[in-house]
Amino acid sequence: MLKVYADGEEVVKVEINTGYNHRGVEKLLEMNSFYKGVFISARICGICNTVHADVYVRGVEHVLGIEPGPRAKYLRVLAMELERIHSHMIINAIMAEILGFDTLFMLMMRDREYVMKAKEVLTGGRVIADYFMPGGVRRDIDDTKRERILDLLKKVKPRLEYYRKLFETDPTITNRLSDVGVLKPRDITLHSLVGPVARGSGIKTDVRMEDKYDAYDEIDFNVIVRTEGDSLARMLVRWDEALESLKMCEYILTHLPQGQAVVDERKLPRVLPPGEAFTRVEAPRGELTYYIIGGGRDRPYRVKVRTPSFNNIINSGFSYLRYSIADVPVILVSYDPCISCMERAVLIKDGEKKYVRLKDIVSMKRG
Amino acid sequence: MTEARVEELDPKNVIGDLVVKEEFARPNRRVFTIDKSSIREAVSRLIKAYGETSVYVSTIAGVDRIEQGVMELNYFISILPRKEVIVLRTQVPRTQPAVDTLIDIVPGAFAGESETFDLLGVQFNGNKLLKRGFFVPEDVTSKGVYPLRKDAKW
Amino acid sequence: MVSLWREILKNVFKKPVTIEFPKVETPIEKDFRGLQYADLNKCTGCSLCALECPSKAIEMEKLPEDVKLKHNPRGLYPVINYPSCVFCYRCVTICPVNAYITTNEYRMATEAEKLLSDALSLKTLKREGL
Repeated sequence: MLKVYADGEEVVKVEINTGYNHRGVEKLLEMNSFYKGVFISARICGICNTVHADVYVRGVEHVLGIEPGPRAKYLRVLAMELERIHSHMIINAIMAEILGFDTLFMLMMRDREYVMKAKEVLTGGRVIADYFMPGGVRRDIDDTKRERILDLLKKVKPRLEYYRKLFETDPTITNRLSDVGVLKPRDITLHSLVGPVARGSGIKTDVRMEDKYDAYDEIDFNVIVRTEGDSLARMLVRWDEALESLKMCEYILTHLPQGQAVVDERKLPRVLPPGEAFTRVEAPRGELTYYIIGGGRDRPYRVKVRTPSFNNIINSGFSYLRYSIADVPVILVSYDPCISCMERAVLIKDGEKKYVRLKDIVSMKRG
Repeated sequence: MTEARVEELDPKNVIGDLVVKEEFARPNRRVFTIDKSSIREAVSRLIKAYGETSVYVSTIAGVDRIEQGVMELNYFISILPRKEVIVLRTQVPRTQPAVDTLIDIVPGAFAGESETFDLLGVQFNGNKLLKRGFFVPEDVTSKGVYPLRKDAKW
Repeated sequence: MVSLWREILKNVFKKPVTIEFPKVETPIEKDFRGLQYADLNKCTGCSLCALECPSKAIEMEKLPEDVKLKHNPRGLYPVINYPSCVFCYRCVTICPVNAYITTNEYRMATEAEKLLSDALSLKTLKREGL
């Protein structure tokens, strides 16, 4: 993935090698109907599946000309913010693990299970929440589920505050992370780095504040910006964002509007009219953009996906120079690499296709 | 230049003389069609007008329009003080797709240009770091196929 | 300075959080997206679920010879290949007559005979003499 050339202990050159995991998603989205695309785009990445599905569904809604109701918008934001909390917890746990701090990794993963349980109560799946559909969402919540999610969030909140205090004051972590991988604001915009990487160096950019999609125009939140620009600043931005997300989830659960949230999938239009839409969303890793062109059939003409890890990892080869080899994993993990989001090429297999069904296995066993 | 002046500066005033056509992409993005030889001029003017830390190139998207015989290149540029995204669109002929590179003005275009070259076959003049096989696996590149074109078969 | 010692001591005296599956059942929600199959008392054989499946896991098969249903003129019913299924529940929500039975069964790493969707669907017919 990263080819590092070193002179003694100092890094002199870095080459980025991708392409071991390319899966042909853009061609696949052109070959299937746009309803199947809702499920295909969710499976580009396992940990950011709600944001991929949300931005695709919003692009399709712009081309079709339909809009969801207010209750559906609030529930969409709830699913995305729950995912932001557990994504930030796992990248901080991985950072603790590569520093050698395995105890902290295990403690954080235990507390992350509460958030995944909350996501299961809301959407029906712990990791992949097939929750989005053009026009609204696929499930609704009642009062018992609402109380359960509020209880789970109440258990997670003191743990998040404890871990944030630990990252700021513990000498094991601060000695390894301070002043490593410093990025200046000029480097960030010229190299198109996005997300907490940009917010850790003083650039105030957040798509939730700029575009105000879904229900973000009615929910108050702060955009967290730090000015130091090193790895510790980027990790602390993520902890502060996780606490903000938790406050947002509690606000949503206590202020849900009434109305119809679930869309009847049998009555939706079957053809994507000609038109184009460019939608953006704030994924846990940065700015995720989709560009959808409709062609008058049931398949889109072109879908272009640009994930935040694409820019953050491929364009950041300059930031490792003149640090020692032991700093390279610390810098790489502080950019939050999501490998499946980054490598989305086509993998073609020539030759004939062979399907093995479950019935064939059973008959092979018997006969 | 004070903050208020930068926010009120309309991008149309900065690159207006290069614009051939203006359209809209939903939800509210302005699309400026310009000639392929003035891409570098337009981007440098935008960076100089708004400041280096206020403009970044978000996405480079290539579209294969096989019926019209052209390939469209869309540059999505985000202007932070105005909280707006504008689109610069050019067209290149499909038989010889080539356009000037942006990599010496904006090094962040490296990822987008590498992907457009590897998947669609658009040549970026002046970019020495382009190579096949960056994303596409070897059994496809050995046949000389650009996978995302509409007539690609492998 | 925040010390990790108190945290470690607190956790030494707690019992482990490991759930000893399969001796103990994992706590799972009632509406978790698990195994699903078609109820043949309602299915009309329209094949919408097979056309809409994103991973092409559903095939339509002919009913056995002796079964004639008034609401199923074509005599087809869906059979799901569970190793290909991603449990997105598109088939459940697109069915015009709501003919799918959903469960929260997630223990699929079992013998292949127990996971045959045609057997589960045919059992819903409750034929006499079988």
